[in-house]
Amino acid sequence: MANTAFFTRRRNANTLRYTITVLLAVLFMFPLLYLVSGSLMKLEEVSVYPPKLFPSSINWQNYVDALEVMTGRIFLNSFIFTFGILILQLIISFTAGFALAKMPFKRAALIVGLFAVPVFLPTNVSIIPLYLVTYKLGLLNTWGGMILPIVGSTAFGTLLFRQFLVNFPDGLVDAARMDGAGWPRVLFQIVLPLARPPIASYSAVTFLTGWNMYIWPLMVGNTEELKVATVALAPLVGGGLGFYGNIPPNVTYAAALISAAPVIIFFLWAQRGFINAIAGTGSDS
Amino acid sequence: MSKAKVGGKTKQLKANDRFWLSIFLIPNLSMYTLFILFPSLIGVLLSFCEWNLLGPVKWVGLDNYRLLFSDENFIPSFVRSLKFMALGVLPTIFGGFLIAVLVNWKVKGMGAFRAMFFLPLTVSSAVAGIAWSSIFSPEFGWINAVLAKVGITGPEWLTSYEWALPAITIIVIWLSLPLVIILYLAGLQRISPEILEAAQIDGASAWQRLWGIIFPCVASTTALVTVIEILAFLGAPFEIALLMTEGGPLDATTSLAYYAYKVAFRDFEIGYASAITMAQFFIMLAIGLIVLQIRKIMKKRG
Repeated sequence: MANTAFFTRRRNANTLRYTITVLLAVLFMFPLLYLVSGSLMKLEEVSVYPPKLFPSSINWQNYVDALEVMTGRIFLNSFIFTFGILILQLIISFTAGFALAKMPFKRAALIVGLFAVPVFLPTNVSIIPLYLVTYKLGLLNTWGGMILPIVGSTAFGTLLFRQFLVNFPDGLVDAARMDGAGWPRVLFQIVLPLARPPIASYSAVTFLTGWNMYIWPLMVGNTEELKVATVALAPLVGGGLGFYGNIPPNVTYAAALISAAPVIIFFLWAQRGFINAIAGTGSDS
Repeated sequence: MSKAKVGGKTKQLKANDRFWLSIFLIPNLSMYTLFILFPSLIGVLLSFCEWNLLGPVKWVGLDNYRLLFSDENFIPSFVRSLKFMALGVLPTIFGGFLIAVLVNWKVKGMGAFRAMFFLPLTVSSAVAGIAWSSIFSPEFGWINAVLAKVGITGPEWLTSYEWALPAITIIVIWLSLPLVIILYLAGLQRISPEILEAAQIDGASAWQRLWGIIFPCVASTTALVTVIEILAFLGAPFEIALLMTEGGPLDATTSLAYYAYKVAFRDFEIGYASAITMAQFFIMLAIGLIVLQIRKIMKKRG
């Protein structure tokens, strides 16, 4: 009898916990959920008091109008920017991580230490001199100026790959070396195929940060040719002024969701790699 | 295969080794030096100089640092940074911990709800800004509509001198929570189930178990999260404030980081802006060290 009471209480507690979690999740998501709902409303439905939860009919037209703001060109620019960073940084971080982990040389520890510098350096502290260096190199308002300075922040990738490769079995590398394989072959044919987990983690993190980067592309690439999604979207934020320029709020919501779509889809697909990367950095410190 | 041949080959490989080592390392190190180490050094040096981006760079010694104390905007900006920190850090840590405990549960459908708590991680500041502007809108926003339901006339939020800073803080908390939840989830998964079972048999209630056993078990995560969030709140309100309030109204949301940005790119006083960022860096360093010290003392006392 006492046992049944215990289990009933347990079941009630679980129901309560489930309900709280679901309510909290919906509340937490609310700003984004309302963005979705509002992006489908008519103009006379979005700016009303009291606000409405759901559109009376689905207005896909807002998304068509939003493509005037989020043009194909801007989308393409965001892809060039993000993948330019991702690919270039991946190449130089992976090779350096490999060298630091598997090619024993005297100053390896010193170089690893050097990569710890940015940990102590908040981004906004280094952004002024970084802008100056880019300016002096004549790279303002060029793709090189957009991408290369960000590629330079290799610390995260290099340390991530080094950490993975330190634990990579030496036997495999040594065996290939004994067979006469050169370092590039060891890297590309032995190590690379087995390094998918850290590459997935790295790519997930870099894709998210690259796609969402705002200040840097605003400072060095605020031109028609270089404008990325965040920079195009920023003037529509309107702040507390309730002012959206010529773009009505429902279209603004649609534009915001279009700009976020690639990264949300990517995140849901690559969630595991991403969370492993963050959780991994956490447990190491 | 003769010995000589092997020996010859090893020797040849050694020169070869160094060649490939440079190929693998130099692109990375040169980029890293040019765009991270060198700018950092430049930043330090410029804080002792006067420069308006166009004219010559003039060495002024400690003048910029002296100016910090007589600048009527520096201390208020610093105080605002501290306000962001005071309002934001604790809710982020405890909220993150509680949500992590809630979703750390293997039942059907929990994966989807867990993902919902991670989603702010995926949106840019601009998207977050658009979503939250509508929520905070004084006339049409949800927050004031809900407040009106319980008979409270909501403030003007982002255009109000008193409420803009708390509103921005709420948005930054929302943006920061996913990372904290993920770190706590990783921490929670390292607690052995035996510890929790033992507590259950002792008849400890869920609430007691939460704070008496689970929370102390993730103390190292809490320490890490505390440092990350203190530094984040001292630096981060910058991007959201730039997008949503441009530091206003009347500088109400101008943090130290934002102030340095203004001095650099609106007033073009590069040297003085560098001194402000250096001051910010040392303040962050000092706070980071204090937190670590407190942690050390707490560890000693058990």
